[in-house]
Amino acid sequence: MTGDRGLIIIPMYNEAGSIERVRARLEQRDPACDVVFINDGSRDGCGKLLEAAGCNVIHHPINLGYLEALRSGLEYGLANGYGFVAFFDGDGQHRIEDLNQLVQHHRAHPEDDLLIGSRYLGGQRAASGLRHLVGQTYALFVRLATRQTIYDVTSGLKLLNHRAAETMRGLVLEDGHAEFLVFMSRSGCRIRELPIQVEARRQGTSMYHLSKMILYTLRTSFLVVLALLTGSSKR
Amino acid sequence: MLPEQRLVTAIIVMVLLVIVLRLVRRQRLSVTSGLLWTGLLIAGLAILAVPGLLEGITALTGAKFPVSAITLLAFVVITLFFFYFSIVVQRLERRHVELVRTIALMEHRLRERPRASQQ
Repeated sequence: MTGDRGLIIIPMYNEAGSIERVRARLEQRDPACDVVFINDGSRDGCGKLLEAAGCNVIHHPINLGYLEALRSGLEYGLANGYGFVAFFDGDGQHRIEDLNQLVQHHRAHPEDDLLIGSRYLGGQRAASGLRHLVGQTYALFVRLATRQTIYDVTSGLKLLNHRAAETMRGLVLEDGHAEFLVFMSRSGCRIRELPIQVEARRQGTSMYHLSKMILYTLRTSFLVVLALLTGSSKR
Repeated sequence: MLPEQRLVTAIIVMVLLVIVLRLVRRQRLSVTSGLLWTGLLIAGLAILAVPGLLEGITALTGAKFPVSAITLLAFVVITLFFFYFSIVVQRLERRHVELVRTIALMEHRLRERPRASQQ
C-alpha cells in the first residue's frame, strides 16, 4: 500500500435509507479516492441497493460489527495497493468536504499517521448530554493511557496513512474507538484531530442506545485498563 | 454414603461415560472435551469405588462434611470448565470472523473479475 490513491471505506449496516444521500456526497470526493462499501450483513436490502446503484461493495454474509467491517475494507485496501484509507460513516452524518480536508491534510503532512475528524474541535456537542458525558469519559481514558488529548474519541471519520493502516492490521482489537486509539498511539502512530461538522442522522438508528452505551462504557473501561496493563496488542 | 446410593451413582456415571465415548466416536464431541469429561467421570467413579477416598478429600480440603468437599470440588471443576470453554468459544469466534471476511473478499473478487476483464 504505497500508491498515491486513497480508499474510502464505508461500513453499512441496515442503512438502505442513507444510500442515496451518501452516494450524492461521494460525487464531490477528492478525485484520487476510490470507494468501497462494506455491507455488514444488512437485512434491509442495503446490499442489493448498493449493487443496483453500481457501487463497489463487499458483502459480509452475516453481521460482524463495525470494527470488523472496517477491517475488511482495510484488507481490501492493503491488497489493492492504496496509499491511504479513510473511514466514512454510512449513515450520512459526515460531510464530504470534511473528508476532503483530511485528504488534503494527509498530502501536506504525510508524517501524521492517523487523522481524526473531531466534531468537538469544530464547536459541536454530542446529540445528548448522556452521549457527551460518555464521550468525555472515553476521552479521559484515552488521555490517561496515551498522555495525549483526543477530544472526539468516538468519531467515525478517520484517515490512516500507509503506516497506520499496516499498524491497525497487526493489532488485536475489540473496539474501533477508544481501544483503537490507545493502541495506535502506543504503537508510535502520530495522531492529529481536525475540526469537522457532523450532521444529524435522518435515517436508521444510532448504534448508541442507553443499554448499549452502558455496556459499551464498561467494555471500553475494561479494554483501556487492559491496554494500560499489557501495553501491546500485536497479533 | 449408603451402598445403594453408591451403586445408583456408579451406574449413572458409567452411563454418562458411555454417552461421552459414543459422542467422541461420532465426532459430536471433540477429543479434548471428551478427554476432560472422561477424566472427570473416572474421578467420580474412583471416589465411589475407593473406600476412604472421599473422607480423605474431605480432610484435605478442610471441610467438615463429605458433601461440602464434593460441592467445593464441583465448584472448582465447573469454574475450570467454564474458563476453558470461554477460551474455546473466543478462538472459534476469531476463526469465524476471519472465515466470513475471507469469503466476503473472495466473493467480491469473483464478482469483479468479469468487470475487470471487460475493461
